[in-house]
Amino acid sequence: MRMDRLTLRFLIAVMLASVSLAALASSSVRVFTDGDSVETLIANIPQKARSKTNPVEKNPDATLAGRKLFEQHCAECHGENANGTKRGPSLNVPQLEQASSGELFWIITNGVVRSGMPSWSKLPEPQRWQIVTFLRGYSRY
Amino acid sequence: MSSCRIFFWYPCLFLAFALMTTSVFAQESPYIVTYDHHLEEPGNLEAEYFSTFGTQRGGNDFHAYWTEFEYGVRAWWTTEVYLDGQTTFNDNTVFTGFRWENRVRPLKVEHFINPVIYIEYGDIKESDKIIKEVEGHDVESDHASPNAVLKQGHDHELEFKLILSKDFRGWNFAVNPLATKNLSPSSPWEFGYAAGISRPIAIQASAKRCTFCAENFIVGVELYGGLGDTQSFGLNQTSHYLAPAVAWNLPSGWTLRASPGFGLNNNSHRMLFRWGLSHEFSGIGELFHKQRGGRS
Repeated sequence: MRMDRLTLRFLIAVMLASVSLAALASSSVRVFTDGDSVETLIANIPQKARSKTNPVEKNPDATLAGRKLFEQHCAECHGENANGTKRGPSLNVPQLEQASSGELFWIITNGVVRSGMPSWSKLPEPQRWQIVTFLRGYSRY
Repeated sequence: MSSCRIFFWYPCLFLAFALMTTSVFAQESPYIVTYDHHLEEPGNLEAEYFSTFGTQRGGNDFHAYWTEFEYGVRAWWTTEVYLDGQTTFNDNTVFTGFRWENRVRPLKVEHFINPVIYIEYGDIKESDKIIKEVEGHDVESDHASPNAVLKQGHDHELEFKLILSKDFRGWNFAVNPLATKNLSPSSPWEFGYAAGISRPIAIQASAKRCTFCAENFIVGVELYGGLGDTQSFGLNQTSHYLAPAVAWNLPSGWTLRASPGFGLNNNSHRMLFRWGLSHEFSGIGELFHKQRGGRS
């Protein structure tokens, strides 16, 4: 099967343009960095999600398991101590410390996709709740 | 570039990424053909190698393989390059082409069903046997001729998929209808499907760091096949496969997948045994950033 040269050139041009765009976009991967953005994010969480309760809160292993999951999936952007890195903001900010478990669960589940944080719904629900348990108890840990 | 030279560069590239970046734990699904709605994390690169051993009636069995480089450009956009090759027993080894795919997630938050748009361009010889998807009237006999004959045919094609996926109580359900257009004007649109269901063996993480924890193993099953083309849509003269699959996500950032696939009708290969090894590298985006002088 042959394709005419014009189409082939067009495809190569599209491909090169997209790779350049990808390189540019990747160098500016950022997430929200100021308190106002966090407040906006939390303000937009649906009421039903805010009031969810943490089913693993009383499980004695949940904090340790949550810590392990945080280190595996979250620390590369938010830092080992959740103080933030170039790739992601600190989680040690009052807005998140005061957020309810349901709000934290919603943020982990949905991410902040347009700003750079992926959805973590690929982790089963109990694992996301384990991360919430770890984050809620972080200051005590 | 010769096949041998290309396959020599794979491990070199892999080593270079390993030296320049850090590894992260990957939570990969066991699917080899089906896609779910989860994209690569932004700035991360996943390098993957997959193998398919296929039985062939009326010809020689084969070992087809491909390497994927999957990069998270944004949280909503993943781009991926494939390099394909195959060895047919009692014949020879050939490089069979490349593919470039993009997956874009149009919605900001999780919904009841989560769509992802998939667009792929492929520059593929007809000797390609990776069977990464089945479309149109793809059947076992397409692969029976010797490589010298098959490699004369060359396709430039665009493939579109609508990835529909849902996570529910630890389970993932995914369906991918697909449409392919060979860019030669006389070729019809071809159609196919893939569907999968998967679940980790344990949905709660254990407190210990471990390699063999149940939560590191995800099991599933895939069903995929062709649906004919615009001239003859339907199941007539199409092939279909059912493939149980397992993924083992290791704490070191490696993922091992295995999937024995079974042909469901006489047009299908009797058996396609697939396995794959992948590794996720973190911070490739940071490398781009440094190359551009650290400007954001």
